[in-house]
Amino acid sequence: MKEKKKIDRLYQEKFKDFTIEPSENVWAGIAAQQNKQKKRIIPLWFQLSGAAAVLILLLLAGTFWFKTENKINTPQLVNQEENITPDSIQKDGSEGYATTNPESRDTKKVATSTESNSVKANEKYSVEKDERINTENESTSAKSAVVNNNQGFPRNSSVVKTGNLEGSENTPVVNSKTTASNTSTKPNEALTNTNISRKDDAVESAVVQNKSESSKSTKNQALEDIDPDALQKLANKKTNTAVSATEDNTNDARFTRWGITPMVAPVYYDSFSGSGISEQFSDNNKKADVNLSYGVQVSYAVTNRLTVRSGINKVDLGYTTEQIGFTPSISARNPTAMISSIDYNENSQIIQLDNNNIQGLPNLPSNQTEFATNIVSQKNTSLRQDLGYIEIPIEAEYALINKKVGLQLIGGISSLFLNKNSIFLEEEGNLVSELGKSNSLNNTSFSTNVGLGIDYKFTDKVQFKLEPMFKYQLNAYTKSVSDFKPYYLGLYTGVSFRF
Amino acid sequence: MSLEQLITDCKRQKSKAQEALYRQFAGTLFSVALKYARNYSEAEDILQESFIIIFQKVGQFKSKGSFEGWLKRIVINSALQRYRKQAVFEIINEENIEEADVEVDDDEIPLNFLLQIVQELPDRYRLVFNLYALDGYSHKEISKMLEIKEGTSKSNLARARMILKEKVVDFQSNAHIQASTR
Repeated sequence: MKEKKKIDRLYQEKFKDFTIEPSENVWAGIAAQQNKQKKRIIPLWFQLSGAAAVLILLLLAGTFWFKTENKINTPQLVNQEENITPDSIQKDGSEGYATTNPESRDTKKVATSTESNSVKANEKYSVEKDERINTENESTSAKSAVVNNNQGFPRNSSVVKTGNLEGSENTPVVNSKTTASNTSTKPNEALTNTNISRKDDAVESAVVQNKSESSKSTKNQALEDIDPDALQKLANKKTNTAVSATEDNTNDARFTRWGITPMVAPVYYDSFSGSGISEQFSDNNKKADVNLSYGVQVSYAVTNRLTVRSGINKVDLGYTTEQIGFTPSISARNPTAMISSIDYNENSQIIQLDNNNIQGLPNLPSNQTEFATNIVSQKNTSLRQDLGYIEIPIEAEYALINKKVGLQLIGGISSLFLNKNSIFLEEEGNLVSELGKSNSLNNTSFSTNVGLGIDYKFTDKVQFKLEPMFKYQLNAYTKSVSDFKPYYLGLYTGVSFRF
Repeated sequence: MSLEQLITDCKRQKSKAQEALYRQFAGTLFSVALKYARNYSEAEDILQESFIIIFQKVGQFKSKGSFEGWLKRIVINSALQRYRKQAVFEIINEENIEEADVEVDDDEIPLNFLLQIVQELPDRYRLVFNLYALDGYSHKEISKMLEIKEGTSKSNLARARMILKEKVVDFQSNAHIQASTR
């Protein structure tokens, strides 16, 4: 029935009971915003905790650094003693059998009194010198002095030992016990190495030695008196110290606690179920892409076997959802045709996506099935989702095998910060259009990581690393999209530098 | 759950209540947003912004007036925020144009068409037409809301009516042609 109406009235009547439900992505957007507001505390807290963790690590590093510096003093002393033992052994050898066997330390258990003397002297001097301030230098000088003394006596290496008068004085005393030694070269070297101040020290020590010898200090005396037993003991002691010294050495090598490893990995992104784009694509074929991840890893060895590590990686991930149909839709923004999890680009709003996976559409009327089949036969279209993250892992590795070739178990978590997010339409493998980006990805998410580490140590400092890792993403997607359970596999390789 | 309970829970920022509130009012409010927006997608944006404001400000709602009215005002405000500042080429014509009459068959003109032509109006015309004709605001109120003169509001309304009428008439004549050729 026709009637004249004012335009206002027309609208009022028509729109009186007008309601239309918005698409689901409006609520998804609101929920995401609400979550962001609620969870803003957590990422902030997390960032702060990250900063705190770095601080703690630095502090720890500092304390360990100083600790190791302290440690350095003791092993060095031991080292030097060790250095000396062969010398004194040489003397022994030369003295006892007139054969210089620098390597046969252990055989020198048959060492004679000079050895015991010299060793004792060493110990004593180093002890005595502890009273003075610069222990290290002195102990070395003490030893050199001793060596000096011991060696100085036989033939006149006094030429080299200019000004070491006391030493030369000393020589006869010791000399009386030692028969002869031809190893004058080594001590000489040692001597020449020692600088003038050390020579002074050496002189002093020599004096002390003289004193102790001449005044028959009880210990020396006692030692000399109980020669055979003491010899045995000393020999044992020496081998012990030698062993401990070598152990310390190896420990030292192992205690290169810090490591830095640039790493690169092909990563393979896949999921256990669901679709990251829309529930309607859950059952579609999906093809995972192989992408690249690279970054730097910093590790700290807590013990020989346990290492904690962190770092920063860039990770690119991607996969394609196949069996997609698309038609240019004439009416822009047909709400039913839009996929709610995609924030469409301005110019891609006219593309309407369909699911060509007929199994995924159980209630399709038969004629439409035919229609759909037609499309399937026509096109081979897919949706590609590309993601990029900045990854900050915190992981621990436990060494199962700690040899030249090592094997470690690795576990930990990663924080992932989204920095790339786009969805493309592809036809026959060719890029057609960038549709937009997913609005259902969390900006901050986490993954749990497990893996195996294999390394090959070129040296103690440099090693090659190979780590197959499995990383399962915990909350990459907001709940609004189907239960998509993505994970990625990476084969990380790198060269680690320890220091 | 009663509306009061729902509002109380929303004031406590309970997410379930928020979703329930959304489910209850999204349809009504989206229709408001659609009328004020340029297109579907912007209407969605307006609705989304509106609900975020609603959840933030629900504490300020005093149970005096209608809750739905309060919600609608927020949606309208969001739309105004978005379009008010956008410059429109002004033809200020202070002369009073008679309200346009059109001849219509009931149910002949689909709602979608009417919505579409409203959305196609220039921003200012659309806002004024919606505010005045559909949501019952006076020119005085509109002039304050849009920070324009009352006269401008009136002339904008007249322009909007003219444009809409022309399009309706066109549509009807096209429909007749189609009907006769069918």
